[in-house]
Amino acid sequence: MTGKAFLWAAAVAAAGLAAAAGAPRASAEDLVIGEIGSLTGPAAAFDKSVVDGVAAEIKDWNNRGGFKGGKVTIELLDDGSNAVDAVTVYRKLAQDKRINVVIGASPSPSLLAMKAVSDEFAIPTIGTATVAQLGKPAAKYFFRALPSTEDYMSGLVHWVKAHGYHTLAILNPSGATGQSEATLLKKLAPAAGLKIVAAETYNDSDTNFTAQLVNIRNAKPDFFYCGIIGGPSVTIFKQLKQLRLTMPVAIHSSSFNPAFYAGIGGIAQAEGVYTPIERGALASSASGLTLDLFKRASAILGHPATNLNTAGWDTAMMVEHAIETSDGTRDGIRNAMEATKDLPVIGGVMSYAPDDHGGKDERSIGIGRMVGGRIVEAK
Amino acid sequence: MDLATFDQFALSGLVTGCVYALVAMGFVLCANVSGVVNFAQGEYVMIGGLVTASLVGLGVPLAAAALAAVVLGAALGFVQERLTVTPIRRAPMFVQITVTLAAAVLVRSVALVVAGKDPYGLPGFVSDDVFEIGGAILPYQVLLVWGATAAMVGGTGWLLGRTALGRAIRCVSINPLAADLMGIDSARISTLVFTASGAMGALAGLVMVPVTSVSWDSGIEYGLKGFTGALLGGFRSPLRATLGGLAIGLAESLSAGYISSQSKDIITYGALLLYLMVQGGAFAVGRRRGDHAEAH
Repeated sequence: MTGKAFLWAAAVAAAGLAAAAGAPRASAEDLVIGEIGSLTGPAAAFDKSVVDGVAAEIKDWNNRGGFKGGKVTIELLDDGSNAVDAVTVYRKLAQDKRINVVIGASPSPSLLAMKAVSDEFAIPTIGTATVAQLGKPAAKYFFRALPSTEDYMSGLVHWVKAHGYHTLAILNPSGATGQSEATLLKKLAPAAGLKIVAAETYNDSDTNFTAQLVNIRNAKPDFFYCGIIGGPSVTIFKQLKQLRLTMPVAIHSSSFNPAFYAGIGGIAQAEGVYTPIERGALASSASGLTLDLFKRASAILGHPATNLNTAGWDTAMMVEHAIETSDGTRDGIRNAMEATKDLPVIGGVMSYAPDDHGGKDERSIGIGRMVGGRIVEAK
Repeated sequence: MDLATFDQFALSGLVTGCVYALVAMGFVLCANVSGVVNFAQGEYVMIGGLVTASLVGLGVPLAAAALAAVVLGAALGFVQERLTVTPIRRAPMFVQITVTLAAAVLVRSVALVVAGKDPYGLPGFVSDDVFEIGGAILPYQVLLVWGATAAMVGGTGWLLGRTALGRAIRCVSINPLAADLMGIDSARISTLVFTASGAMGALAGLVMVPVTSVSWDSGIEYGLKGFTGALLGGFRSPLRATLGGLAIGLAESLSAGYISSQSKDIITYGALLLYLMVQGGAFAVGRRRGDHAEAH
């Protein structure tokens, strides 16, 4: 080998080594976190608020000095509420050598699609949805941030039982989420000593819910979980009132929104209604660290943080914790995340284990009650 | 059997049944004068409800909003007939059906873009209170639904049976060629019926909003159930189609109440399938396939 050729070979080898060394490690000066959000499409109505919550926490992190004195930034890509596009943008983020962790603020189908390829991409990823399968069985690089549907239903059942009720009626839509809730309640309620006296179903395209509601009224339950989601929620709630169902009622937390209030004739119509909800939504009436974090989030957002905002904030807090307690490489962040136990966040605590990448659990679920136009913790 | 519970199921079934009945009547009238089964029929109901609720939400007085909705429904029927039905009247049946389905998707998509996906509601036109009848509890708005349906069915019956225009419509529906030879402008009759059908659908939709709310996709369910009612009625007589629509509303409410809310569509459509097979001679005793043809 001539001297010139040797120099070329050395230069190429050095460049290769530099690239290899640079690939897994985040820069101390400018840490980039990847994020996939549903900024357009049907899920945008929910996920934009989650994205706002993530951005608020990252801003808070920077206000506290950032990562080792450097600024933390977000590379945010839109999946259009579409699972195929979610995998496409996920691949793009995974191939970006500056990025060593990804937050998925997307609906369950997108996150399930991302989980399926997460081992291939080998980048720690944390998703903000409630489907149990996101956390169990555990995929090496994929983590769920929010409590699962089972945690919500379990929290509801235990609260109902603890408050002296003995019988329960349920009404759920025929879609996947609704039937998942119905199946869980039929399993969890008897185990907790509650008897289900009526279990009714409706289709989103239905226009008449009288039969279901009359059957529930005739069954005389102590407590009624009305798992209304989306389209017909307003009609069902109005018919529920018209048919004089007087027992305590809990509805799905997603139904507490401005369109629902407008449809039922004002927020006052929902007075006294319960909902199983993540504790982040109840943080304004909490104390200690929870309240402190809630105030910080609200100050940055410019309004009281919503349930979805706190979900995003808590997810970003988990990412911050994993980065700060690791060497900043992809595997280091993954290992730190998996080793996390009871990290306090606004909406409860987050824990992971090698066989359970579920994040929040039933401890993060509270029962909220609409009182004077605000959701407060039901005592 | 608890009579109050039966009354509740039956009367509430008759409320949604009214809308199915009016849609079914529209299906039959339009099909008989044009030869085209119009699958956009349910969208007239959606447009009526959505336009009224949207305008009221913008501060327009209810009466003006309702009038605008009926006019828009009529205009939609008119435009649909002129642009998508007249040009394909002699096309094969599958082309006609595809075109009306495409028209329905188009109307629905425009509604989604303009009004968004959230449902729209309205308070009762007179009151949000309820009244009791035979132990059943119903909102006062259902009186308007029943009244509007009775008026539209009665008015259509009177028009068809007692007026020269009605005779012309019946004549076109029996034999368009003979009607043309008798000096009746069958194309004009077809346009008129589509326009009236659009207006009636819109009126049905707007009186239902306080009872069921409305969203961009509400027309699918009304169209499907109305079509089923029209099939039950034999697709010839508007009155029988009306009864078919009412029967569908009643059947789905009673089956949801007494059998299972999860399987009410199985029961409703299963019964329809059985009825059509019986009507078609599937269970005729002593006949084999081909007997009917041989008899001719």
